[in-house]
Amino acid sequence: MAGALTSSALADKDFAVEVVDNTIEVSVGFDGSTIEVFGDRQNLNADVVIMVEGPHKDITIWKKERVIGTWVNRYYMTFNDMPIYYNYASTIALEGKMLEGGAKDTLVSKRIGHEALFASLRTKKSSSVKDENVYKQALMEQKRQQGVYFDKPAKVNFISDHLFRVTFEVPPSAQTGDYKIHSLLIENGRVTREKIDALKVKQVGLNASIVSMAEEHSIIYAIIVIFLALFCGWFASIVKVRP
Amino acid sequence: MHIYLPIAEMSIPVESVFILGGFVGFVSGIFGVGGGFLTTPLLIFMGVPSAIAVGTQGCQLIAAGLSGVIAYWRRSQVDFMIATIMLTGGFIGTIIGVFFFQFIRYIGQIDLIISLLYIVFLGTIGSMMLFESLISSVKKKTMREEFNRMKSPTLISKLPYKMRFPRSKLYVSAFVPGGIGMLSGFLVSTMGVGGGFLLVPAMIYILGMPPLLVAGTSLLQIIYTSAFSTIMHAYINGSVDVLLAVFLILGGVIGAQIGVRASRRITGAKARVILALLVLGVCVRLGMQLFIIPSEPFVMVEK
Repeated sequence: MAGALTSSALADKDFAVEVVDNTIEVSVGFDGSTIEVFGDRQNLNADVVIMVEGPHKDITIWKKERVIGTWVNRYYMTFNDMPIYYNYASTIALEGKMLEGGAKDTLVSKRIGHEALFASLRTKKSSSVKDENVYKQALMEQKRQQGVYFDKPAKVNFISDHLFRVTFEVPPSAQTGDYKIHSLLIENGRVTREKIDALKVKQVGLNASIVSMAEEHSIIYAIIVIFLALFCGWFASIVKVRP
Repeated sequence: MHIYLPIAEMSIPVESVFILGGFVGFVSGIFGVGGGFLTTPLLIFMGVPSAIAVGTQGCQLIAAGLSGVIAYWRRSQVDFMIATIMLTGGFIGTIIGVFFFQFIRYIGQIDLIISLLYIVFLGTIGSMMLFESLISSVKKKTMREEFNRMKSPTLISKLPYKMRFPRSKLYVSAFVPGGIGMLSGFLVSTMGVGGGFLLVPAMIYILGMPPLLVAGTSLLQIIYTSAFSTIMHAYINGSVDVLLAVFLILGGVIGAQIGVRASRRITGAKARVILALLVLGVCVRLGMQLFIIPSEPFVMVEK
């Protein structure tokens, strides 16, 4: 029940959310995974919104243009502090005009929904960039191809009228780091309950040892890699001698 | 079967890496050249970040280089003194290269610069090779005589710090092998290319080494330079992925074996024409991307 202990609101019977596994272990054979969230709400008319975001990075989109006959990365737009993974599930549509009032403001402030996310980001761009939407689209498209941003929100599946479950897809090329799962309950147009769970995507086993050595003892790591390469080269020469 | 590369933080099909290594090893086995010029662009095409492609490529050059050097050393065809001087230049060239690489990453023009470097390098070498091999299949003796006359232009004999290199029977300025080594170091650390294409003709025609000694000596130099480049890339850029390297090398070793066996069937000028065409082919493909139409108008960079 580690998820319940990290919540920012007291766990209560009106709204409970549990992340099945707070760690995604990435080993050599990692081929993608899922984030499973179970929950329960007492008010059958309430809406549930759950958002998952990965670690933040500054992401830049460059637009190529021809300069003296050569295609060069000419114009850019940088989105600061952007989650490298972003997905959400909701029982009501967030994009568009479905939500009003207090709930909408809260959701926007928490960056739930793509419109809200982009509206909240600080950006930097080349002075001649006029159409920011083109860059946003390009960014979304690249992120979708990586499998870390999604066309459509995930589904909130109801197992009974109270109990629900959401499955978020994590692609094979997921990046490591601290992910956050925000869960909200919306009643009568206002957000009444809120919970944040932490999830860690980390490399384990051989991968973890490699990364820690490469980061902390880079020169020794490099020397080991060199000797490995030398060994393979030497071994190949031995094998070649045989007719 | 996918593997998750720890440094690149991406998942990649093992078979693809294996086949890539094997193909490049095959080319190197047939033609006796590194094949690094193929690996780096293909790795980048497969989605590996360019810094990691270049940083990790050094390892394959070490492995391929060593197996070649051992063969040449057994036949006493390596000049260690020349290699040592070239190596000193190589260190300098590698350091310049690693920082240059960092710089172009910083300004966000890495695909452009790397593509341009490749196009210039491959274009020059490929054309020269094509020219030479087409002509030599037509007029064998005359071409060689002409190249012999080009040996050791007077400008070079005016350079200072002359040294004796007994094995190659040369008395020439240390700047010559040093300069060649520096260029090779730069190539390895910015493009992941062994530079054998450049080193071998440079050593024969500019340095004036006996051709028999050139292959082994240049391979030795490449090993040292690539080793240094690997250390620098790991320390400064953190861009050496050992898992990627292992699979590339394994594929390469097997491919090279097959290539060496196949080389007995294709020999001489015909082989060099094919190689020249291959080099030019990669060059043209890159050129199209750079000058005609890029496959992707938008590039995403994460920091």
